[in-house]
Amino acid sequence: MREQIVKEIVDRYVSDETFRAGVRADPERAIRNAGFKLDDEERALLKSVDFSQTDEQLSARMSAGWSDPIGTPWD
Amino acid sequence: MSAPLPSAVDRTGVLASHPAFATLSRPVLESLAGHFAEERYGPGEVIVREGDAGDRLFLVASGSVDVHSADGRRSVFMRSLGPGELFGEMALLEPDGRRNATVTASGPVRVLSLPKAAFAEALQAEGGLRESVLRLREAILRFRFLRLASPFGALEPAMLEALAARMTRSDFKAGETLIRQGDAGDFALLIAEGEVEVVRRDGAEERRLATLGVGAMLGEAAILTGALRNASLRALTDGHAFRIDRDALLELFERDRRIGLQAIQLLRLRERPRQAPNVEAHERRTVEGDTLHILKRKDTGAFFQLSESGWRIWQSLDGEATLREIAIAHMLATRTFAPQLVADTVAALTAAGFVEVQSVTRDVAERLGGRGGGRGGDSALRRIGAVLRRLFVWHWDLGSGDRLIGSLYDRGGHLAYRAAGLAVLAAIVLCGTAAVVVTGPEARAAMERGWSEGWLWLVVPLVYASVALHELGHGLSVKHYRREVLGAGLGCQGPVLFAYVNTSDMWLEGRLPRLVVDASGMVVNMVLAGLAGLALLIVDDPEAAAVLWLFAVVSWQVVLVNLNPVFDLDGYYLLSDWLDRPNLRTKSFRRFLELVRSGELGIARRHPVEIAYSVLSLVYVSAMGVVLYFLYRPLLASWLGDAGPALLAELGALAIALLWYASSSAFLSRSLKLAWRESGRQPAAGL
Repeated sequence: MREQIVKEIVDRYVSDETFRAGVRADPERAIRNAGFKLDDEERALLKSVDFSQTDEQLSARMSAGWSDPIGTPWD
Repeated sequence: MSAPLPSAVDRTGVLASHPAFATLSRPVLESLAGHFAEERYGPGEVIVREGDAGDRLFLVASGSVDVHSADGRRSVFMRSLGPGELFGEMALLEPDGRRNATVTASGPVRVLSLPKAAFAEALQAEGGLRESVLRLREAILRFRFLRLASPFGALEPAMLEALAARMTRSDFKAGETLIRQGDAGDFALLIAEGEVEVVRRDGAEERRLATLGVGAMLGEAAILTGALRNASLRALTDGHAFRIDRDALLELFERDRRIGLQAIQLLRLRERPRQAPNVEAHERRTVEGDTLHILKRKDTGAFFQLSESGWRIWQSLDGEATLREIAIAHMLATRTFAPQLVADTVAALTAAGFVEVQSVTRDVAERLGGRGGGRGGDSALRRIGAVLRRLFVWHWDLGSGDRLIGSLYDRGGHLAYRAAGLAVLAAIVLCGTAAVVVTGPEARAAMERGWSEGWLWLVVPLVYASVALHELGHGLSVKHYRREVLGAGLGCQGPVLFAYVNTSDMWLEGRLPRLVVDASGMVVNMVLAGLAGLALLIVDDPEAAAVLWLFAVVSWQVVLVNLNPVFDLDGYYLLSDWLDRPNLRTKSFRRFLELVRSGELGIARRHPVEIAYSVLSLVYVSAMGVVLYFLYRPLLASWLGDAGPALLAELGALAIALLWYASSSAFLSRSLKLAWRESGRQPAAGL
């Protein structure tokens, strides 16, 4: 797995709303259309990752979300 | 049916419209136009292929083409070109003569092509074509470099072009210091050629932190944070870098704030967040059986809870790993791709003071966020609002009180938490309340007969003493669970004075202990009411009996008021602890605003508790103003009697209702503001 290609996918995902929507719908296609050429190992890893869930769904998987500032009264 | 091809005259016009050719004289342009040939391509057809030898350049006459360059095994989209734009000239200028990009027709395309020999001849002509083409070449090289090798590669072409135009080239020699530790950071460097080392000096010792090559960007954090350079940059070989000045970069970001924010997000992915000192971690189980990790800052008394996923992120905040590396590690560990949530978690931890990371300076945030100076600072309305808030919503911190309350618990308070103690308290509440009910008519009659002012004023200090005892009840319960009372004080919410103890340390406990602490203040009020009721049985004086009866009734009213789950009273904490939802109000309003903004009813189905809570809160606040108006209007009219006009009673009732709305709005506005910000949040805003 080439670290650089994953870093570039993260960059693109964070900064490009269209790419983000595409990845959630069909990750392999969106990543291919964006010009990333993956080898077999990378494609297998891609298939094992869940891209489909929205932030809200991911956050809701835990009862209290991922993080929550609490108990800081009178600030 | 396609439009006719451009004639020779049209070709001259097309040529003249390109900046590189615009400076040529008319005869030279016409001569050059004669060498151009027309070519047509269908959608997806390759016009030039990367790596091939270049034999001509092209000018797009109609349609558009897409330019892609290979980066390793990745094909990177560079940009699209439309009518009047040039491509293929680079191969004619480079010594190896090879194409550095593949250009395909994105639809039906007509291009004008100029053979290499004719181009070479034109370069020799007067009119500055050579200089224009060389400038164009430099701009394309910078664009290509930004796209392929810089942190800005994911930005839109127009932004990259503008950025490329603002970069200045800076050549360096091996051994030269490019950035000096301790200097102000007002520019960033993008290494285009050569190798550099990052070194940090601690006292006499110098340590190499990294060796970096082409594509590395250095000093960008200082641009955003205004921090002094925390390391030096020294050239290991000869080479050159592109320099980007802070003002130029920010001006560019400001032109298109959306893209500016994207660029900042990309830069911030490279930050290395670190856990703050003085943080201790605890675990607790939720009612659903999940494990929550509670962080506590020992110095500030702030708390933060993390799920298992959040906890994994927290553990990786070592100041070495970048946010992007943390997101990738999280993906590999969980098989879930959620870089935005990782960034949001770190941003929330940073905002709450649990993570140290250099933050974007105020001027950068304002320039990109449109806040602050651009709106001319605080308006008069805002200043008036601030004054009213200071008058109506304030608190006075009296320090911890932990030792005093702990001592009271040890010296007898603990007895109330034993079975016998609880039985005695229950008996006092039940018997005392029965006595209040039984003696009620007699006490009311005594009140109606009139009493001296001295007796009346006795009720006021009794009520305030009961408020202090109410808070002591919370504090004793905190000590019962061997937790710390983190603060105590007095405050004011609108017309209501109150006292408080900070029981946040109970976040480290489970649900039941937290419910006990929440309820214990009201239990104190019930016991005080019960004691007053029992005293009624032995007091003969009718005025003293009336005072005791009134105090008991007020104590029960305090209990009922405290059960209100809308404001920050015991009822709210009972409800949020019972539901195990910290920050229930903010979360509920956020869901409610999401529902209002999107109109998506699914939000109400997914979050029924939050939606119900927010709707009922707003209905309660709205309705209470109306109730207060209709309640006080006849009361005031009756009290005024013939002494004042009816209008005065109307105005008085209206003032009370407005006071209610003002104080409750001030109370709820903070949650609403937070919720508003969060409900309208763009993805990855936390970066």
